[in-house]
Amino acid sequence: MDFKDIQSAWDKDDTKNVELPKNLDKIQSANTPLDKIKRNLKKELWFQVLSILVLGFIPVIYRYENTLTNVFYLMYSLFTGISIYYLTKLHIFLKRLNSVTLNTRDNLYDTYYDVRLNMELYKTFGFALTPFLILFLLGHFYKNVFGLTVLDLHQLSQLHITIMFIVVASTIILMGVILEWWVHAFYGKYAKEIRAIIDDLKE
Amino acid sequence: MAQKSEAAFLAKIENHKGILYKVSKIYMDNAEDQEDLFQEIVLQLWKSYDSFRGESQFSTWMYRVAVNTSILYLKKEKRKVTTSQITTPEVKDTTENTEEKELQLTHFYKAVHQLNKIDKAIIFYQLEGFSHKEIGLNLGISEGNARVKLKRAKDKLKELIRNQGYGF
Repeated sequence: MDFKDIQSAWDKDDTKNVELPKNLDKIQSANTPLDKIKRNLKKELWFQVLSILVLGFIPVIYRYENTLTNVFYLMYSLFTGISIYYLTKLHIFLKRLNSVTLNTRDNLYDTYYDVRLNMELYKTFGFALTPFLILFLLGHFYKNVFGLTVLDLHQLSQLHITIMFIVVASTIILMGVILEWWVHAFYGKYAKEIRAIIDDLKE
Repeated sequence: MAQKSEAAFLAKIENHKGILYKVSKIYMDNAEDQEDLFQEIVLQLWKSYDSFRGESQFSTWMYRVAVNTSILYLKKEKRKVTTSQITTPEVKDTTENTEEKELQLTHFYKAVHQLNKIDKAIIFYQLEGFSHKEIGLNLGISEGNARVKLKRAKDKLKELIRNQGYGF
């Protein structure tokens, strides 16, 4: 066999019995990296909305007093605002059409940078929420662990300050590690795959 | 294009459906995945049909979308039951397809499935009669790079077919 034989067999490969789908609406899509990311993000969007709703009940669950409740809802409104901003941005960003009609190289680069940008946006979103988590944890330690009731920083001992410092530092580190892992597990593998194809295109 | 009509679109791709079938067969190694990819390409063509402005030939635009979709397509992890309205692209043998040709194609597909996604695209374009320049344009690489890549892909293919114990 040689390439002429392959060409001849290829040309003679009969395709007239191939049938197109009768109804395009019935086709279940989709399996491209961006579609998978969209699906993951959609799930997360619902999870975030649910989390925001649940978090709103914290003052009731922990029976916060009036002043603390006011402070909580001030923070909570900021938290909700930031979440809505980022989730909307992520949603709009992914709604853009995949440029499947470009040449392969441009199409791959477009998709790759879309995925990378989405990953970075997602990480920024996670870090933007970290201060709220830290504030919540500090409040929890102040009230429930140290047993302090009045907001007076002079009541804090050296040990309290050390513990709070550890809480802040470990929360930042933990959030960093979790975010990196999360983004890599759900989005990074697609970026890596596309990068490998781009590398195959190079001279 | 003011209003896209599904019927008009399907009529238009009817003449080129063999391209979609062949590209699916090059990229996927089993019938179920080939069917999934075939449907995905049809869907991507439909989704981007509005962007076809008639500046290029419909078939040229179709090749590009089909290859790009195939390159970025991910195999399904879990198989879903698809609707019964979708017909599996099935090709029945005709008298023209001799046993020898079938055997050659079987060896060819077995080998081509082991190539990377870009090499598959290059081999596909070559078999569809594209010149080095056209391959380069569609892939977004230079003509020289397309030529080098095609030579390498052919060499790999030759070696893979030989390794199957088939004379080349």
